[in-house]
Amino acid sequence: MALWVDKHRPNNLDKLDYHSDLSLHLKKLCASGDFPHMLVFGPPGSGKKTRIVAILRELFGPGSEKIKIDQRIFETPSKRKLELNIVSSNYHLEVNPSDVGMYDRVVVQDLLKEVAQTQQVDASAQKRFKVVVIHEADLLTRDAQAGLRRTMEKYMGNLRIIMCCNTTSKIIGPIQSRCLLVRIGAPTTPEICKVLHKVIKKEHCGPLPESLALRIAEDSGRNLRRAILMLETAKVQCHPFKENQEIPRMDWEDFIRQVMMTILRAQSPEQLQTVRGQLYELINHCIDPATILKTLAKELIEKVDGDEIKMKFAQEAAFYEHRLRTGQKAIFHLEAFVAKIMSVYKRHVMSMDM
Amino acid sequence: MSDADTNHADEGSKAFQEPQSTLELSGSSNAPLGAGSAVNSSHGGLVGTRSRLLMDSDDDMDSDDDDDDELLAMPLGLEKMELQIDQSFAEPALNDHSQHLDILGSSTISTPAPVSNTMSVLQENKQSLLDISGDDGLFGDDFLEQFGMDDEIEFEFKKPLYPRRMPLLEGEAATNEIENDDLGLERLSISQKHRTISGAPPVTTTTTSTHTTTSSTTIISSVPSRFNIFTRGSSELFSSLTQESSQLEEELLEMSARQHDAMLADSSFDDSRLVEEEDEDLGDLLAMQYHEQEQQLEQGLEWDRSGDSALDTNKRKHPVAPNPATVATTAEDLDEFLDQSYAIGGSSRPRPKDVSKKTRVEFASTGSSLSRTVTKSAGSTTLNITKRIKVPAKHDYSLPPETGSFIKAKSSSGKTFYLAKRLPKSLAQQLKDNSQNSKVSLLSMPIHRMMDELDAEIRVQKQEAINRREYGDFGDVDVTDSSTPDEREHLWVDKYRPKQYTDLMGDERVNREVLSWIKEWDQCVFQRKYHKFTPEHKKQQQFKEFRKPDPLGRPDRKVLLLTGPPGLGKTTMAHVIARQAGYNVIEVNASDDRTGASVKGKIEAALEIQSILGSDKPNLLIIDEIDGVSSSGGEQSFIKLLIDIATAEVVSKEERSKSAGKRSRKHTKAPLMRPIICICNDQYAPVLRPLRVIAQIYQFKKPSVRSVVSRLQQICEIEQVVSDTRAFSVLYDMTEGDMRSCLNTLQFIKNRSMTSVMSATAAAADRIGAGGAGIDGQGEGLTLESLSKATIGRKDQSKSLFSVWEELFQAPYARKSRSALKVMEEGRDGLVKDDNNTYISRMVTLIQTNGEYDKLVQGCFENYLSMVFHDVAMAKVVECGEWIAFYDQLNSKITSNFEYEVAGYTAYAIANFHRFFAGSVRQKIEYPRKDYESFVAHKANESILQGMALNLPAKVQRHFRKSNFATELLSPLLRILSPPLRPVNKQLIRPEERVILMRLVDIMIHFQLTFVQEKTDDGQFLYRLEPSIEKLGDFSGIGLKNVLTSRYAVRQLIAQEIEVELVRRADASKETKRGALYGGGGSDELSSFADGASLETKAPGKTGADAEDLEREAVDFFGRTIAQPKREGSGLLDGSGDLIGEGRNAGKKTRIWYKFNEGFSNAVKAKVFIHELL
Repeated sequence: MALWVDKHRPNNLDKLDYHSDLSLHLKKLCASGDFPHMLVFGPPGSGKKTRIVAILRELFGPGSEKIKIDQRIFETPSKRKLELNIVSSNYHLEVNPSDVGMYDRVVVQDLLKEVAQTQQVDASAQKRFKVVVIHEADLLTRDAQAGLRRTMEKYMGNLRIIMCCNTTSKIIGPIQSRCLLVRIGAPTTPEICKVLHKVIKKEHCGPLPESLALRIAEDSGRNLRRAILMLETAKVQCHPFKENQEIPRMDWEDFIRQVMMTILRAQSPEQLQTVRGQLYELINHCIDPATILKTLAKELIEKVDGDEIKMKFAQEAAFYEHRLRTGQKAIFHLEAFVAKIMSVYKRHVMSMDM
Repeated sequence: MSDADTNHADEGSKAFQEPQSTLELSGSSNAPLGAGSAVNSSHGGLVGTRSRLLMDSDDDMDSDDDDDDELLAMPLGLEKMELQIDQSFAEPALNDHSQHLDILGSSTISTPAPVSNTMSVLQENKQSLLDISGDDGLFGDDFLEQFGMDDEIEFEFKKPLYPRRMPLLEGEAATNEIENDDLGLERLSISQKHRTISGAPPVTTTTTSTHTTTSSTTIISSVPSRFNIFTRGSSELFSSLTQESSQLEEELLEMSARQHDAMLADSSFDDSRLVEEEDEDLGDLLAMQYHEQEQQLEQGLEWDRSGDSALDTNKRKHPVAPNPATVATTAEDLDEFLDQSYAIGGSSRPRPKDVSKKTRVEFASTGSSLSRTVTKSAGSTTLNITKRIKVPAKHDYSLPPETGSFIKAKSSSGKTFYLAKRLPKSLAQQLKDNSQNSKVSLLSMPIHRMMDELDAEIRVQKQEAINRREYGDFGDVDVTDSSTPDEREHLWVDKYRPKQYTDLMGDERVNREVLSWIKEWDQCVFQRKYHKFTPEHKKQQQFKEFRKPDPLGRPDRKVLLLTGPPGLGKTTMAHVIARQAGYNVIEVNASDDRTGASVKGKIEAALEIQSILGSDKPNLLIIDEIDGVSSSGGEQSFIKLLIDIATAEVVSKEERSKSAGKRSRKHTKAPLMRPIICICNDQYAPVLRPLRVIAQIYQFKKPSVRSVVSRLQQICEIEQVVSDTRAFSVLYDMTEGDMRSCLNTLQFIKNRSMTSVMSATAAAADRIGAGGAGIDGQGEGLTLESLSKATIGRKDQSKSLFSVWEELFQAPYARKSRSALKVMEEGRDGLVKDDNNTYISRMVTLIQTNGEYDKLVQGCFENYLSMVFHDVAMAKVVECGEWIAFYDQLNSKITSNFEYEVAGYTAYAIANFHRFFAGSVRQKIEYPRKDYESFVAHKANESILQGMALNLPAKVQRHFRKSNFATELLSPLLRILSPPLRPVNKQLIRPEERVILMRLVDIMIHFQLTFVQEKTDDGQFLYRLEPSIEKLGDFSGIGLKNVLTSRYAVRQLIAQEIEVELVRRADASKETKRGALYGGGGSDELSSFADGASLETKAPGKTGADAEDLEREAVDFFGRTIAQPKREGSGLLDGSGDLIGEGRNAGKKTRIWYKFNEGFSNAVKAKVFIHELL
């Protein structure tokens, strides 16, 4: 038995709890017969993948749920072997090309061509095409996206691509124009609460205090996946639920809060060095540097007083996140960001004193 | 003296062989001497080869046991002279060599001039001492008076530097003609009408009156041997002289050593100890006396010993020669002696202050059949004087002195004189003092001043030679000039390659030890004993007692490995030393095919076969560039082969016969009989690893700036390159001590300037007229400018990372002395020489030459915060951050987009660290490790995540990927995995706790997690989560430890439950499968379940849920599902009612029958009826 978040995941479009008009629209689309390429995007925890799975089920029926994992080996032109896990059913195929980093082009080219060049064998299948789901499409390199763009047109006959990403900003225009863009917005707090109550009801574990549900929904940052995980955590730690029970936070978020405190406590090169150690630790724990920076900025902005400095912090965060994304060595940019924040804050404090 | 020694001596003398005469004789008395040596050389008594004849001939003179060893006989170049020194020396072979002798260590000479009655003294170098009088004990002053009144002796001094030539003989002052011509020749002629004094202290020299040849005495002062290379280039004559002088120097040393011996003997030391102590004390003495020359002298000494000098042998045989009269040998003596002689001479001229300290007297003869009769009586020497000598009135020389030693001289008329020897008291005292406390310098003048003078003199000498060559270039080539026009085509590197041991530069210690190692082979190769004498070797010898001595007397390590950067003269040194030690060098280098098989025959031939053509010297194998040898080939590889050869055991005869009897399977290799020297640049090359174990390794280091500069200076003078000392040191810096590279650069500069000169033909004509002055006007010399233009001379040097970092973080003014090289570079860059403005170009050059940008940046990044710097509101750090970001952007462009165009800017980004953080205080820079550590930790964690993510069920996997696993799933999961559980026995768990436990177990199985028992270092057992995602969620400062239950008992309980559950599930799926088969299609639920299980997916929906419930059906001890208790079990497991209901339904619908058969297994199953039992 899996975690609640998996266990209670809706598996068809009808069961989805929110964006029901979108679900309706998608259902019609699936039935229509000219299913387009699709680019599904939205913040994490908003149900993109759940919706994609539901679409697949809508397209191919329960057969699409008989999935298996196999490991494929690709070879780069330089004879380097790449391993990639592929989740597939008879009707579709899910890949995450960004797992192989800069060689994703090879994966996209080889895999898509291979799939596209074979026709659907199952005569009883509802659709004549197969679907390739590309996860984390925003991490695709430009090469890979360029490789994708012609393929999408050429093999339209027996291939549909559903891309899933957080933002379209990194998807090149030609691809965006070939796709139906489907935005999945994050669920609102009441929607999350509704889902939480539903889960609790299904699990038969007593009443969930409304205030607790609300707090979880708010703390989750409108991330439903997170909200359900938090709910389960709360349940494990303290079973019958209490109104005021503590909602466990993410460890790394706590740690970033510590970093924030360190930054605001004193601003000096020594302090920066301490922060550097903490940043390294975060990176070591496989936390995405951009997430670190974003979270840190959020914490900082929450903590400091004064609109001006908040704005300044936000501006710097944006600036350095951009650098971080264009650069290679995350620690350089994270530290530069922290140094800048320290500098700004110190000046701010000094001007306040005067 | 054994024959071997004699042979050895001959070999040694060959090594010193110089084809040209060192002597110039003036044929007639009073003849005005022409400019230069031309006149003299016309009468030249040419010396074929010279051997040093060390006249402590006690060994063969039976009667002489305490003879004065210090008195060295002087060979007289007279044909009919008979000189009997010892039996071996009387061998005809010896006669090929002229005898080169010292008298009394350095002090006096006496000259035979039988026919012409003229003695020409060619003084080459320093002001020399020519004196027959003196208080050295050889001659009494009145003796000289008696001789000097009406006789004329002519001395010729070639050098102009010291016009104040002292009159040597009393009464001669008036008659001395001191002439300075423009060549600066000074002639001091002393007419000697009827006699020649031939002083050969330890021998009695008999000369007949029928001398037809002339001989001359050459007095040269010792020239430091390192000048040899210099001199050879210009004038063979000079070269030979200096070479000899270096030899003499060695002798001097030898003698001082022996003198020391004598002292010790006086102090009644044990003889055997003396030899040892002498060596050590000698070192002290030398250190005191000769300062920087110490090494050379020691080396010379060693040469003497290890080489072939008879003296060595003698010395060993007679370590003690306690003759006080012979002590006056050192330069100090000489000085003293000089003073005295001046006093005696009564000259009005002051004695020159700069009298050479180590004046040498050398006699050489042209005589082909040189024979001497030496008669020696105990403690006395007979001096044979060839002409009639008036017996002095003052002192009766016809009678031997009552006390002390004396020299017996015989005139041609048969009259015998006894010349008393005495040691000046002050001198004796001083020497004693010296030996007691080494503070007193033996030299009255500091050695460096002497050197300076010498240099000046040499320079003048060179100028002369140059002048001569100038003429030669445009006219006849001077015969005496060694540099013929075609020599220009020679590389200087070859031209000035050291030819003999004393020419070698570099670390004396290494040179010595290499020589010593080669000499250790003597016993094996030459069948003679080699005595180790240095203290280190003594120590080794002590150790040797515990070691099995080599049966062939070979050194412990059979292979020598010389390592060091290029251009330091490893190959040259190996060749020189090998030749010096009397080997025939066979070289194998990278130009040859060096695979094991192809070289095998060659090596073995070199080591085992003696050449019958050419030299009869034994072979010595030099394997050059051995680090370039290929390691492939396994058993047949070159190194392996070499090691096999080197380590071949010596098989004794008995063993050999034994093995022959056994018909040994393996062909036993012959032991190595000849030395092998390997040379490489990188001793840590992997291919050399096995060789390093067995080889004696000597590491070459770059020579000191001083030695390189001085040699370069000499060469420049010979080659007429106008030079500048600072330029030399720049050159040294540029080449990093690579002598070869220095020379090549020099030659390049010279050639460039020469072509420009040659084009100016008019200038050439001018030069002829202008003589020496022409040199200055010649082309461009070695200056900083020319060096900076000579870009080819520049070694592609790269500084180490640390030095770059240090440079980056150190303010320029903190570096006290900036090397000339840097000054030059800055000058070349055309920047204002202001430290504040030059850092960019300097730093950028520095960084670019290093080239390891990534490492440099990382090092700077990890260190800059710990630097001491003043920073207002972190402005510097922020700005620096900008630059780092700039670097990172450039770098990502380069690495991901391959835009190498921007690589040129990276160095500037790094140089900014200097701008912001350079401090005057030298700060400790640590090697950047954090980033790598972080990288490793990140990788490890990532692989944990990856492993975990890949093990997830497909349905979960599509939702939780590596990317969001850590950020979203991990933290809640760890908490979900740690419900509050009491550490109690499984049986005592309350039902509600059991629900929690089973839920936990279920999730853990779902994520394929488990607790694994492990033993910690301190012996305790603990359960660890596997895969260890604990670590991933564990941040320092935030205690996950209190989140995740770590109690042993709880974990144990969970682990056991997991195992039980896994077994249960495995059996359940087996059972259901079987059930499905037995059921002949079975129920829908079953088939769908089996389907789902085989796919390893937990299909959602009703069927899936049922299937999962089925999986958790209770089983009995053997893992079989029990129909009745199953219900209870599932009821326990699931708290929710409708799921239980589903589970029940599923259980009911399953039709499975169980039949109980008694017996252990079906194998023994048989039907038994009651009646059979009854």
